[in-house]
Amino acid sequence: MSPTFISKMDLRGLEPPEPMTRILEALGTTPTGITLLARLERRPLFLLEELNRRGQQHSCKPADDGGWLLSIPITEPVSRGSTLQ
Amino acid sequence: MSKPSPAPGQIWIALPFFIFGFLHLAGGLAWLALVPTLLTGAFYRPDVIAFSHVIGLGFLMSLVAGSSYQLLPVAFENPLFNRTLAKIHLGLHLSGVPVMVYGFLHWHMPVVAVGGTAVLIGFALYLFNIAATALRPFRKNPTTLGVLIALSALAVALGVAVWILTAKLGFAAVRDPLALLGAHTFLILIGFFLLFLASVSYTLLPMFLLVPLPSTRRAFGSIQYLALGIALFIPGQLIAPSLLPFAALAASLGLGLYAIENLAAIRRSPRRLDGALRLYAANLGFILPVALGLLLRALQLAGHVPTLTLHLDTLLFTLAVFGTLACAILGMGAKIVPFLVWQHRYAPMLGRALVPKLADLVYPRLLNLLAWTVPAAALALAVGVTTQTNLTVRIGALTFLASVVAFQFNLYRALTHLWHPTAKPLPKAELRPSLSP
Repeated sequence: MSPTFISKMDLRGLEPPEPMTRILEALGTTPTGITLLARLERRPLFLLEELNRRGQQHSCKPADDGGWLLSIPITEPVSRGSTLQ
Repeated sequence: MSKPSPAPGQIWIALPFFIFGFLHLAGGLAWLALVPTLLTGAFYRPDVIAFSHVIGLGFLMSLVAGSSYQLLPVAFENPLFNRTLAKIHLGLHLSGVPVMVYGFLHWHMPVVAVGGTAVLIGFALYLFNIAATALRPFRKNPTTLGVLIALSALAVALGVAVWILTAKLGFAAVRDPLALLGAHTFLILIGFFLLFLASVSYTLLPMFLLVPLPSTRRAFGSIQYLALGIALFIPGQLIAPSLLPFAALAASLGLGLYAIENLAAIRRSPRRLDGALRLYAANLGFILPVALGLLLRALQLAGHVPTLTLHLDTLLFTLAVFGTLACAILGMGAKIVPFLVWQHRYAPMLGRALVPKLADLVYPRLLNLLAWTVPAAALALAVGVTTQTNLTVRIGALTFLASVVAFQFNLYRALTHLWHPTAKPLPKAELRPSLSP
């Protein structure tokens, strides 16, 4: 069984749309095999919509101590910059 | 060059509501500049009723509906229950409001009934859609509770409107049509718009100011006092005027707590207010006059003080609509519309291209200026109504109109990104690495 590598981001206290920006930018730079784990103040509805649109696997659950916990496993390479070429 | 398809989102629901609303505000202000007696003359006139619906339905309700479909899912932390219902509401609202206004202007009640039916069905869909969004699941917080009570007040206000209209058409009897009209106006202004504003501010303001809600108890208190005020007002206005001072006192306490809670959030914020938030914050300056006006009006109607002015209702309308609600809505609109455009156009490009920041979509200095001119114009309108001076009302309307045109110019700048995106390709060397060998 392969180990799970986790990259944590605490995005509480940021004005929208900064949390969405940081997570989607991180998607392009995080190596495959790593799971992005983000702490958020609110359920990121617009981000979840965008992740669904991109076909990106994710799960978003309420955190025990308030806020929300978003987990995004990076499973396949994405070529950055491809959308504007 | 292939572009990613834009995010689906609520943009094509919220944006038409916003554009429709801002155009109605500009049109209403131009009309007021031409005919200042709309605010200084008698209020039970066809053109005044038509004007109040241009502002109330065309401007305020359109903005509130657009904001609801965009922001309330975020505040409730639940996705919008049904987008198709929202699109049908949009179509009914956009077609029904102009027909209603035309009908009022020519005092042709069958035409009002046709437009009103479309608007009413749209409202019914709106109420159902937003309530269903709030209740799946229900998360108890001041915003959700307040919005649900505001929706109930809107439903009662619509019932009163239908009663008035059926009486005008000869299908129902009304003992005191002016009392019923007063009930309709109060329920819409205080019961729906101001309660809605207070409720959503408890989510939006902390989100933009980067602070937690200073006091959840105080926020709940403001909602409860406003709800009590609405509950006491209906029997007070229709059958027992002695209840009106208690209704006004409760509503004023609710408004006061709303202002204190908002000011506490602003004071705690680590960041400097930007132009949009300053414009929003200007609404708080009108809360005390609105509360005092409510109390005075209630004491007059209950017979405790002599009638000082026949135009207190118009003054209250002016302070609440052009002062509190317009400042708050324009301020929040200056935040929401650029975000809608940014999210629709650039969110799909994030991580794949260099996209502009949200703040780059508008002119911040213009918003800083509007944070002064809009409340100043509202103040001029209030002074004009109090002193019954047409020239002052005209100056206030023209200043307000110029501010709204500048505001729309700023929004147009944001909207240009929909057809002229300014994203740039990322450097190719930064392809995502892999942990696997």
